[in-house]
Amino acid sequence: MKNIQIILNAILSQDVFEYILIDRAYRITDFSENITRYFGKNVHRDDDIRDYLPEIVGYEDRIETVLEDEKNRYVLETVYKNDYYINIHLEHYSKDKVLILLHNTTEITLSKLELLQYSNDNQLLFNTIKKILDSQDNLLVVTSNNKIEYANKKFLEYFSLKSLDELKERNENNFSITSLPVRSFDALYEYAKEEEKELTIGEDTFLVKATLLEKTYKLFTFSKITKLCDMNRALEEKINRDPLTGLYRKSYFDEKLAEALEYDQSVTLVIADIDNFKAINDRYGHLVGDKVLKESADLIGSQLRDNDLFARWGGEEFLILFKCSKQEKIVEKIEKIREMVDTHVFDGAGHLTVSFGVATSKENDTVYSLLERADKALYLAKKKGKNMVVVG
Amino acid sequence: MIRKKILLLGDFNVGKTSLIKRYIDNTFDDKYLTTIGVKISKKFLSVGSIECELIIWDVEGATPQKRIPEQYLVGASGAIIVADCNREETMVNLEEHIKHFKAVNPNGKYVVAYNKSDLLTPQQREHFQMVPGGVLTSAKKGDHVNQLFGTLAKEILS
Repeated sequence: MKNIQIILNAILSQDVFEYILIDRAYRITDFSENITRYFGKNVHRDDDIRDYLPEIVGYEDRIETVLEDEKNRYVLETVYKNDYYINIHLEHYSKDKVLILLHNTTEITLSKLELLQYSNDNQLLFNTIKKILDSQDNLLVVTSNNKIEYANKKFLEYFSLKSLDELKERNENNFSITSLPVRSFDALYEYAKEEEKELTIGEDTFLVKATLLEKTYKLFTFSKITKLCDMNRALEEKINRDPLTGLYRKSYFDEKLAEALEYDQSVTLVIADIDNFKAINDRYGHLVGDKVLKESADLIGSQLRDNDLFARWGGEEFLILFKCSKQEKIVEKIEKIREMVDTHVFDGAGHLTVSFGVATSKENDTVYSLLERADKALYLAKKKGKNMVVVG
Repeated sequence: MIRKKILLLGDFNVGKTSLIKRYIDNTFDDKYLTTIGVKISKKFLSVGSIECELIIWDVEGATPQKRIPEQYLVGASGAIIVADCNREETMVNLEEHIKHFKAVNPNGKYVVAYNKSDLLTPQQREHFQMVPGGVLTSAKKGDHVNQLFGTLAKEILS
């Protein structure tokens, strides 16, 4: 009765059921008229059901349980048969018979198939895009309303995150855990939307570029340029340094002096000149002359602080920039240096002296005017007998 | 005659349907058409003196959103667990499919197929890392497809 009820309900709800009755030996005992459409051939009584429904193979144990107890029933969903999709129901009919109901679900299954095909195609596309993004050396992150929606493998690796889910779960405002030195992704967007900008994260330098994908989605690309920056710095050092003494070159010194004057910093400029250097070259040769220059630079440099700028002007002349206007103290220091040189024995050249010209910056000073005053002071020191400090 | 149910299991788009088509009809179609539910094919074969009909279940591929229903796995004597040798994630998921199959069929036999091997270079094929007994197959070229089904049939019938 229950099975008849199922069939009736199906008819009433416009579902389409066909049925087959089988006995314990899997022989067909009865079937509905339209059953053949699922098999593409005529069905005969006493035939083995497994010749028509090979789906039953492997289900024999379950059929036994269906025969034994009316509560046992099984359904095999979405089976493709002869251009139809059907659900196969195994129902208890009697102790000797099983009712097999074939429920046509073609229409709804085809709709599902369309969705599944679309979903799988998209999943494949997503996987491919993800692989492309993960293969990038750049750190990529996509945000929506200031929160991370996607981050590539490099991004997760850089910030020691196991998965994107971890990143999303950790913090409602997941920006902070990335230790980016900006307030929010929106702020970062404003910073880098026009052009690539430098950004320092820990000890690394990145070029960051922000791109608006849609109204709320933003893509941030972080290109690590730490190595490039280090190389640039090394190159700059090489360009700005005098190869003999290792001191800064005059061009670099001028640049820093100009910057200091531009920002109205009070500075004191010292020009140092080795006395009678030409005679050293003439007497001992240029190689000894070079050694004297190097030794002088080391000797003077050893008395300076890290933030004092020490450069070689050229020849036997040196420049020192003190970012300090306390002239008396500086003169005192220079005087000590002068004395130290005076008492030093130079390798291969013996005793020599250095003259110093000192000038402290005034309002509206330029590189030229300050250098000019210090140079005049040096000239006076030379004129007065050398080995002395003169303030201009 | 002996009838044995075997399954083709694996992630979606690894080529399960194509392997069956190559084995049954010796044909191949490049177009990817998703399988929904199951489709059963039959193939007669002889292993020594034993004649057998393989009932081959082409089961819809697993996706991140949907696991393969247990009802399809019931009563299977064996399975071909398929991965796409060009998609890492499908190979990672092999273990999950094997576990699922063995949970329902503890005595079931299985072989692992790394399909789409035609996309690998000869060098990649030579150094390809597989589970023991794994087979590099190409449904497109037909490489090792018969061997794959034959190996499983022998395992089941031995």
